[in-house]
Amino acid sequence: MMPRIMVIDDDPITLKRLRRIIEKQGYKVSSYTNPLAALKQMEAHHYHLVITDVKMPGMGGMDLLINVKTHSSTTEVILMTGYASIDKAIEATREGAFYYLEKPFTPEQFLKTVKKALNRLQFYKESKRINGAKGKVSDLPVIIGKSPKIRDIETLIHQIAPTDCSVLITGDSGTGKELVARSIHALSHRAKGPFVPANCGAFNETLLDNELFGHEKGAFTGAVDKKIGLLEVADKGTIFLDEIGEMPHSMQVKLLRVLQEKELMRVGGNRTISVDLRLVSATSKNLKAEVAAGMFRKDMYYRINVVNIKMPSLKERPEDIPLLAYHIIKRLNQNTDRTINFISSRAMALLTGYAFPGNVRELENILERAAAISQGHEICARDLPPDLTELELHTYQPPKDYRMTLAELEKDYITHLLKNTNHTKAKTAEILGIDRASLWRKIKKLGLD
Amino acid sequence: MNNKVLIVFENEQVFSGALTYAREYAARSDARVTFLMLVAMSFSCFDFPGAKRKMLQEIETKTGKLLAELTETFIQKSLETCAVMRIGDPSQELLKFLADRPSFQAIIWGSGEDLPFTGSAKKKHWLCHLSRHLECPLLTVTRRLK
Repeated sequence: MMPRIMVIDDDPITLKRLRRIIEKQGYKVSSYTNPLAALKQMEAHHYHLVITDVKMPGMGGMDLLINVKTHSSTTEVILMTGYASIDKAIEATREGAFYYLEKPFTPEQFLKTVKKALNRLQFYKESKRINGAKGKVSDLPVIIGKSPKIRDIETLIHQIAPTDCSVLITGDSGTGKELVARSIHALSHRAKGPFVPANCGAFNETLLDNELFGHEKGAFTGAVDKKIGLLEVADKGTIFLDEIGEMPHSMQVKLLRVLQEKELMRVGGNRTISVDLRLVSATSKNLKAEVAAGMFRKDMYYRINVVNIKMPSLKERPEDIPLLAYHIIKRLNQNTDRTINFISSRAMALLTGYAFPGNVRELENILERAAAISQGHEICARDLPPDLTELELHTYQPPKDYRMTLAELEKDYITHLLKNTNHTKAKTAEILGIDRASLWRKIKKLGLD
Repeated sequence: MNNKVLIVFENEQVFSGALTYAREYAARSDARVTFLMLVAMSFSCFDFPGAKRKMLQEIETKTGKLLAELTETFIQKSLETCAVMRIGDPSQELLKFLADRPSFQAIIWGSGEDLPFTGSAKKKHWLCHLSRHLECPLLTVTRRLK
């Protein structure tokens, strides 16, 4: 929906100028020189943004602001004044003004402020949409994001959920792999069955064996009772094996058999038990490389990787940060007695500019802390951890499918040989099978001199 | 505690900003922090091992003390830490160290502000050359301009 904007200024020339600036951007604008007439109009129609002068005959901008906020708390108000003072600006902000714009200002400054206010409205709208959607399907895990990568993942989940194929979810820690697994389960025909998560990296080989397969009474010293394993618990449902790359070879063999034969045997048992389960696994490792290095079984890799879902890191989808932030805030408000309604533009800029090596989990943690120490209904920059406000983080990560060029390979190899021969060019040239002049030319060309 | 963070220092140089970031990040990610101090030294086949023994002992004592000081603020925040020192060619030593350990979630450069990633190969820091071979992101920290 096109936002409706109202501009109020007792000076008709200024009013005309401001109106023209906004109209050029394609927005609908109403303009008034009389604040009382403007207020009457606002009572009849809803306006998303009100831009008003402070000193006007009949009614001042501050009084108008209070009136607007009483009638419609979601309407943003920008105050303009030629007599700006810090005290007045603070007072206006306390009353709910979005910005205190000091005259004279350039059309660019004016437009920038207007756009910022409209962006804030957009955040409110999105946050409301998410909460509404969440309310409708509260039992379904919600994947938050509007970025193309997240949309593609959502489509893929809907496509594969009804099938019974094994899914491998890859991605860095904290990207939401378990959430995707839960979504797949919730949308599948196994939704009424159990969803059983297990972390393969959290147990040693013996314990993992015991956890997954269970044991019979008296199977080993201390096995005083029969224990049903997680694979058996997941019968008619889904088992989610997190950090599957950490699974020992011997366990991979046992699990492969369960997936092929659809039956298992408890530790110390002598009869097979039929299981009907779907396997969804996750890893932050590059399993293909692990297979190539002999660290992970090839047959197991192909068995679990029928469909691969790659979760993007938060750095790859910064446009989702505001949405996620408001979603997390909403959840925090529900779980605690806090009512945080807004994240200041400075705080949001710091969040969107941060690299989040810990991904969504880190964002959750930062906002939880900020909400706990925030003084009002807003999260400001000062509520964020000091490392975010005082330091700037730079990340260097090559794309996962990075392949070296021939020149890079050549450069690396020559550098390696030079180091190993103590920069003896004759010896390096001999190993490379070229003459010294050719090596010299290569060194110059590759910038190794 | 499945998260692991590595903070790499070179030649006893420490940038306090990187330490602050590592501490805050580890605290909110519940991560175990490993301190790796790399001391550059070349060992050619013409050197007698005994000749550098005294120097190595001195480096070990000095670096050990520094690492103990660095880890203290982390321990006070109840963070699990581990400190390692390696002497030799820094890039080779880092690769050897990484090969022996399970993967880290992030590697933080602790010996200064941003690394020179542009310019000729000679001007680039050795860690820049190595960054494309790393499994996890390499993070550098700078102070924000006021």
